[in-house]
Amino acid sequence: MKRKLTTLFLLCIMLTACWDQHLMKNAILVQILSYDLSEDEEFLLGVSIPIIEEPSGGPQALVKSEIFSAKGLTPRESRKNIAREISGNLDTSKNKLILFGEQIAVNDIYPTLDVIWRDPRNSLGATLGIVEGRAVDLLNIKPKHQSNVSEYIQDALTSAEENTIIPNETIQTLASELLDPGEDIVLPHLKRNDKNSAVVVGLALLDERKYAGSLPPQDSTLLLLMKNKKGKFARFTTKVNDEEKFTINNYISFNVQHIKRKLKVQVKNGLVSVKLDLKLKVNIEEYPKGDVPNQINRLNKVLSEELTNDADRVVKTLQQLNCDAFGIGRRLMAFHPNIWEKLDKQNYFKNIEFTTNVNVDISSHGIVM
Amino acid sequence: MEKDKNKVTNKQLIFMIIQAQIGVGILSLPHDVALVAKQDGWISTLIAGAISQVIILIIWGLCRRFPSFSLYQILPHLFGTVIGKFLTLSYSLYFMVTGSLVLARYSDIIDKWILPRTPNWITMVLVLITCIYIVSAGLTSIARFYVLVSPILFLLLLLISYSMKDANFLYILPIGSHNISTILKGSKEAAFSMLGFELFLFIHPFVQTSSKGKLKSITTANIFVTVFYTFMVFASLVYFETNADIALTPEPLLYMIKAYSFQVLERTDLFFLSLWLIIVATSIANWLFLSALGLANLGRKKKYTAFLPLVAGFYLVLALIPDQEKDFESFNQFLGPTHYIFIVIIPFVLLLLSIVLSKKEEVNKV
Repeated sequence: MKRKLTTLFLLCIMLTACWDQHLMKNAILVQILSYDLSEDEEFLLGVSIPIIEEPSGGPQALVKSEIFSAKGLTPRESRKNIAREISGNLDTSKNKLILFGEQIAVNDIYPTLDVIWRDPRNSLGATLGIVEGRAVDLLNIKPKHQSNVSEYIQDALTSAEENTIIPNETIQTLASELLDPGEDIVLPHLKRNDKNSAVVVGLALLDERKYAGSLPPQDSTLLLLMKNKKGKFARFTTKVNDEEKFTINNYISFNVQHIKRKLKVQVKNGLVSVKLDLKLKVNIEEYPKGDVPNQINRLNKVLSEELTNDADRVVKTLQQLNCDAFGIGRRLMAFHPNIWEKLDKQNYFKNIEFTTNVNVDISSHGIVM
Repeated sequence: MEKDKNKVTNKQLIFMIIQAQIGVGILSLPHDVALVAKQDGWISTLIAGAISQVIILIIWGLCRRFPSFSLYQILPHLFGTVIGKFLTLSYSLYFMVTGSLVLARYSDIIDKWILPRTPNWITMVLVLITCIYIVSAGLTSIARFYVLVSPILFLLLLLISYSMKDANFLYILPIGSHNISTILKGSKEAAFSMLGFELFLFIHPFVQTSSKGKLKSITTANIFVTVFYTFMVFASLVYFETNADIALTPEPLLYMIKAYSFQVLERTDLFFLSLWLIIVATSIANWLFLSALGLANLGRKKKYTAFLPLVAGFYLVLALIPDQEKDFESFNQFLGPTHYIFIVIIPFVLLLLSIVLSKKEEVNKV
């Protein structure tokens, strides 16, 4: 018995890691980080931290948020400067989102992310986004229906993910693509709408590690379908008639239910060509003109043509911005390594010939005809 | 020795060898291999497994000729007492150095990933105490413990398989784009992680089966380890971009699962590490056992447990020396050739000697 007690005592002393405890009561959890370049070219870090208010009357505590920002030479230095301003330890281990301002994103997004990968306590599950204008301004909005800004922005992003406007990626899944010379990444593109709201305005396209341009929402959905990355819903609204006077009657809205994508990379005489076939099974969600079954062949044809045109436009934009979102370079490395060796690693994507073909097949039309 | 007390069954042997082979190296193996052989690293790992099998055959060939002698008894038998004792001491020292390197790397990873502010000696002492406790219980208990903790390997496998959902299988292509010498160089890196089967040299007299059965068990273990390693390497090669990204991450497997969080579990890497800790403890226990056994064989005293605290102290001191990454490198560089000498060359020379001198243990039927 005495021996057992001694052992127990020893265990109690030895198995407590007093050096590495992180007490929740001292931690200030950061939910969003924003990276900007200030006017004088200094780095500007913004953090959004939640503030939990004591429940007054109601059972649920009210969560608000507060924004801090500070300049510095690097993200770590700015963080040090912010830490001087607040009580407690800034803790980024539960960070959910990193926003880049346009100014910093056009330079290079990689260097500022180094600290996230290097420190083991940082969360690799965070998502990235690019903000039109300054990112820290987006944190300063005051949404009316949601008192916590970070919750608000994250919810907006989640719903955009579900609607296939932005891809579901985290900093870790992006790491390899960011470093891969044969593939470029696309990130959510956000914008501050007015004082009260933020809006997802489509996709930001990157050329290697630099922000190059953006795609509007409907095109971004098409791009994601072409990348074979469909979320829960993928909705389009397209013009299919010309003759109706009341414009609403000219449009059709549909949701893509099932996709089948074929991507073929061919090399002939040293020239790379890509054949991209996309087959969509869609459900008509809105067509005020009605009588879908009778027009189904015409609609299929018109929609296929329209979306093929859109797809061509998307590819053209990508090529202009030199953003290899499809990872064609990676495919060349994998299947045609000799060709890849000879290509210009920077601008190869501009010279690829694309043949895109979208085929729309209406498979259902809701519960009316 | 009290043989009746230290029986090990055939199946337990499989797990003992597996636990001995899989150790601290598993975390960094994909990085080490990919640095040399890039996307063909998994081929290197397979080849490394084949190489180990050849060495295993040599070791087994030697053991078959001396069914009730462990290596520490074969050495004086073939070389005479003086050289034999000297070699026994060398083996013992070799195991101490290898073991302390394992200990140092273990504590380095714990320090980097989980407990940056806890002094390293604490984590070392804790694992050493555990290991002493395991080893002092005798061979049968060691074997049983190893069997008990083996399901952890499947948990690790499961965690890694989960991260495969974000893999890009194009990274592995084109297969075989590197020439054979590059791939073999990669195998050299992988082979060090396969070490551990030399345990068989010392425990084979206690295994209760025919020598063919022993070969079967040890081969099964080696095949399992090879497949396990190859899968781990393959998984990290398809997860990370093989030129730049994997070169930046010294512990790819941890990085892979760090990004995922489940309902009640965040920082999955901590969970992975705490499982991995047990796997490492078993290999440290192995080296501890082997070096203590060596010291015990030097003198008259046949009880190895008395040497355990001494050996463990030696481990601790040695493991505290390397402080930076470059220390580990020089440590490794020093150990590289010694691995060949002690695991390959000496057993091979012993086998040749015993054939040439036609020295064999007189089989006294038990």
